[in-house]
Amino acid sequence: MAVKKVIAVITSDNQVAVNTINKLATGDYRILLISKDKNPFTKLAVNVKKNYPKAELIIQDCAKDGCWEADIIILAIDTPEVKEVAVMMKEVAIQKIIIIVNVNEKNKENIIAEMKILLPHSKIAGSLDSSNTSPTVFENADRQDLQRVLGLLNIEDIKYPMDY
Amino acid sequence: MYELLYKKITETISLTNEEFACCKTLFLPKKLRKRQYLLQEGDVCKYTAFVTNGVLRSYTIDNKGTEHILQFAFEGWWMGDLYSFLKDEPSTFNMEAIEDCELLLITKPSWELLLEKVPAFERYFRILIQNNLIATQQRLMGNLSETAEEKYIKLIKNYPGCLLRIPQHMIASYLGITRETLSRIRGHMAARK
Repeated sequence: MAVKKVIAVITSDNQVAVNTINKLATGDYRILLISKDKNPFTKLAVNVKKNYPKAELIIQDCAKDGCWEADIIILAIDTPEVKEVAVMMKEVAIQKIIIIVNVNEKNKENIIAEMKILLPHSKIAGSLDSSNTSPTVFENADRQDLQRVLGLLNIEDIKYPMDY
Repeated sequence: MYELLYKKITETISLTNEEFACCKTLFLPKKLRKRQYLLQEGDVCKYTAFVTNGVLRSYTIDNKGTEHILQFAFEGWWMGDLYSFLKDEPSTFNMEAIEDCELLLITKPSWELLLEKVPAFERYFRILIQNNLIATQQRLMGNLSETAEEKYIKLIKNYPGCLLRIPQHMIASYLGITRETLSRIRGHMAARK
């Protein structure tokens, strides 16, 4: 029996949170939804429990604690928030997979590039990554975890090191 | 987060600031809630864990469903299934948090990178594995030759704090005796005081 992986989802966008959580809830994960304001997500938690009884969803407001507990971190935030979140998670996100699923497509490349600089020891994965920073190296086990999550999220355009 | 790791490593080897800075970038910080698993039987042991806070236990379950505890790991201790970790074979052990835990985890590729970048770690891990081998041999000899009471006395002498943090049934499982036997031993010892 495999250990249940923990995924932290950091977002302040209600719709992104709903979409992401509903997709992840079909996998066997413990999901930590991290948002400064927990109130908008109370209904989401109830719906997830009703629609996916086996899903485990915890809503919390501390990004550092959530990322410390997580195996995989999903970031759905916009440019102004990137630095703030990166500073909070820097110490506890080392060697962890961070998937950027941006709210604003226009800024996605900038966010990926910035995160790679701010979190040099994390494994940043994001689509449309044409930044000049060095590609992230994923170990085999990481790659399997990453592909499973990307599959659930229906994300197909993430580049792997072999693609560079 | 890294103070205890630094303290324990530098009890055995010397490290420069640069070497320890490199070391820190290879460990994955992880919080585990009480009763959460780090490893389950049948999975490959992907990480070796250094405990910075809390207590872990490793155990197997036999055909009758009985748990056998192999090891506890307190703050400053390492835990992993070396065979599974090194050979990429499925583990026969489970590893679980007895208390909320804070761990520093290292994968095999990161561990190999650490040995390559900071060769002093070859010595550190050799001594760690040596000590582990000695402890395993002593535990095996104890299981073969000591009475239940002798094993219990040795446990509380070597790890006095463990009685406050580990439930009695787990201590009994670790010693390879029943709860009732452990309770009887404790009763006899209390009566002699």
